[in-house]
Amino acid sequence: MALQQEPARPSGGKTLLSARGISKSFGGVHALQAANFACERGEIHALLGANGAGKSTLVKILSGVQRPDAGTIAIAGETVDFAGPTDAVAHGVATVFQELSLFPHRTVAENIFIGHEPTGFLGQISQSRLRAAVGDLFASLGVDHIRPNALVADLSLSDRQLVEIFKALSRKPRLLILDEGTSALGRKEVQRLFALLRKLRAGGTSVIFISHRMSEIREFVDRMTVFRNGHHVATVAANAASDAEIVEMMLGQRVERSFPTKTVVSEAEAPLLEVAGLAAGSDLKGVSLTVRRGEVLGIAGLEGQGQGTLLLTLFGAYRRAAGTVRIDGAPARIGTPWQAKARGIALIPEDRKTEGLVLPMSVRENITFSVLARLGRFGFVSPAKERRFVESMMQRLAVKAASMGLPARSLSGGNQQKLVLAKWLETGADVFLFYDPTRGIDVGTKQAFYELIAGLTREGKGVVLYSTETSELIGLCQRVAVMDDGRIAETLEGDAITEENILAASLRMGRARPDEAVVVEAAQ
Amino acid sequence: MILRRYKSSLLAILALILLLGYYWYKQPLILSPFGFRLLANQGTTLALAALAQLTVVLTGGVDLSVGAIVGLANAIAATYMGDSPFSVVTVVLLTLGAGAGAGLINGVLVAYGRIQPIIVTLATLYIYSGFALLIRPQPGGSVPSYYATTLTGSWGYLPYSLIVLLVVTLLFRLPIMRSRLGTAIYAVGDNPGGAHMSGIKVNRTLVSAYVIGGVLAACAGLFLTAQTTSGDATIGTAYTLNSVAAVVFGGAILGGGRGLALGPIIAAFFISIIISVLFAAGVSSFYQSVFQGGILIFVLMFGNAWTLRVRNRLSVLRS
Repeated sequence: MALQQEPARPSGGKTLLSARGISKSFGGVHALQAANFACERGEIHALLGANGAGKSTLVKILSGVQRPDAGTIAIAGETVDFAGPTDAVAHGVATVFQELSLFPHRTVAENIFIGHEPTGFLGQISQSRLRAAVGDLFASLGVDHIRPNALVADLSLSDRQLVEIFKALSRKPRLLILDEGTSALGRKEVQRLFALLRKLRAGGTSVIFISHRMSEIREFVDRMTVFRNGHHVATVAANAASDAEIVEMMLGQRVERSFPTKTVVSEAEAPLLEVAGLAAGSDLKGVSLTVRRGEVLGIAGLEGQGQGTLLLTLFGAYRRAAGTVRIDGAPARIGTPWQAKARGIALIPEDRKTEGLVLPMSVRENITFSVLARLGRFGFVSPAKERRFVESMMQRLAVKAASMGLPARSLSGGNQQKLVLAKWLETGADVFLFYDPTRGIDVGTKQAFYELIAGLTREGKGVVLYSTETSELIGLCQRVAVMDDGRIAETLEGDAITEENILAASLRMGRARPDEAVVVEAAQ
Repeated sequence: MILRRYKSSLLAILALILLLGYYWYKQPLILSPFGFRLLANQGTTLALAALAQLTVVLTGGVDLSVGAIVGLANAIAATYMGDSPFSVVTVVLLTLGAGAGAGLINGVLVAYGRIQPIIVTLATLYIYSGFALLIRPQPGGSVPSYYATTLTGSWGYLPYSLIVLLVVTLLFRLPIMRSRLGTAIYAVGDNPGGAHMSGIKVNRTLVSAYVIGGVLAACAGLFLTAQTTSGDATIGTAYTLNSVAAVVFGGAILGGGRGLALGPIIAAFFISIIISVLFAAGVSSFYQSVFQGGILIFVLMFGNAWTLRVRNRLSVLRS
């Protein structure tokens, strides 16, 4: 399989953006390591990579939101060092961010021209010229269903994304960056958008486009660059690589890690947790799943496909719009987290710092929060009982802390995560929901965590594990449900749980054919 | 459309209409030039203080030093004003400058010192009150009578204080809020991260908002001086929390980004007049503040009844 490692340059192009040797790390995690990226004048360039490849970090650096630790950026040959987003805008870089940067309680028109509204006498914003400018922008994309005077809070997600795109276009940028800027748009809107982007391209504007929809990339993009683990892997013409080749570039050499033996679950076992047609908020649109005792059900998919909402809804923290939940065959009404706790559901949340722990309080207090009632009588906690309980918990989970009186804040990320788990172990919970439990913790602690999860299954608990690390899902889960757009796209079982299949299902590319999988295997 | 824009002010407007209706029923004399002047004068100081508070609240902060700046302005004006028109104008400008300076210190500490607004302004509350006491250790001082009548008199049914309020609102505050700066103030309060990513200079916007707040608080102090015709360093104390109450009652959100001038102005009149109404209703002065607090809670609960119903509990707690 021949991969072009050198960027394939379109003829007659001249480099608009060149980023060389960009490095950026966050608290010891390297998001970008000496990464290179270049974009020609007048091209639409896709940026690809699995979760955590460093795409979003690169976008933030290019748009001045973050400063690189090392490396240089040049725009049209001029070296730039952005002190902030204002600088980037002044150099003609406009960005449509993944997390929307809109102001929900301002009007559409005010949002689009925020910071550079047309002004008249005494610096007063000219409403008539503002309306005219917005009208022109809307006309350029054939949009007529959004009222310029509507509040952004009242718009649908896709309309908000359009507003965000208009906001970037209103700056008349030389370089337009769309970071997942089309994820909420329908097919027709995407086509219109790209018709406009092609017009802009003809005028010399460059576009960097980040998307997980392969079909869009194939259809609309000139070249693409693949990132993996903070490195530049390859830049190729959009049609020069097959889907399988792209997947391989995104995944690269796998790191082998040992996982505990999976607990054997018999098919005949009655389900512990049954969920049917669960919908909530704007991003969970109907999910059905079952978990048996002793089973780990993995939840996979690209980030933001409703996985978080699924877990929070099961835990009663989000109001459910539709669907039923049954535990041990009996219908369970779970509307609040304390109801979930009473029905034996535990959540190890996404953000352990704000939702899992009370950081300034001690290790002891954090462990005993949810079981205080059992540690004493008449509403008083018995210090001796509490001490014994905490000691046994710390031993069982191998929490590394000099003393149980230390504040939780002083512990490492992995040990903090153990405290969150410790809090729940003795509440008698049967169903454990894990939200990306090993994010940002070291390898050794990860290993200990895998053992703990396997231990839970041996005790006959059921586990739902959402993880952004595919290898964990493969190593720990009996079944993996891949989510896309608030629904389960595909549930993989047994030997079908492979990195290729999970990624293919996430990208909706259709299952990689067996012969392609063999090719990928052989290439490594 | 217009109704929707002013929906947040509706509660205060309805409450004030009911209150005035009841007052008129109890005390028909308020429907006279004299009564109008009295009502208008009673609310104008708090209305100006509420506008000062609103400007800061829109950025997501709170200004506990509003009352102290009102007191400082009162102390400066009553002590130095003198009798000649020249010295009156000079001292008025000086007082406004002191208000701007006080706001500048607040803003710089919040934006660049990275200290929580509530702590910054609590600290400067003490400092500005201290300066006021240095200038005016004992209550006293005076202002020329023409200064007092120009601001607090009336022309038939039209009280001059309402004209003062309109001039400050329409000729000072409105042009600022309709400029890019005004949009930026709302944007910073609505979504600070988004404002930064949209290329708005967040720190400069914050400082500007506190300066505008300081000037408006000084306006409140100048009007109060015309009303009392003397100086008292501690007179401003009540305006701090009452201005916060007026802003919230007037439909602004303490989290920032939402709120119009109309609601807080109306609410300021409600809060200022309620004591007189309780007096007219024959409520014993021992119970007046109990009633005042109870009525505020009742009205605000009534106003919140329909906003809390639909949302997710987690998002309510997170917001």
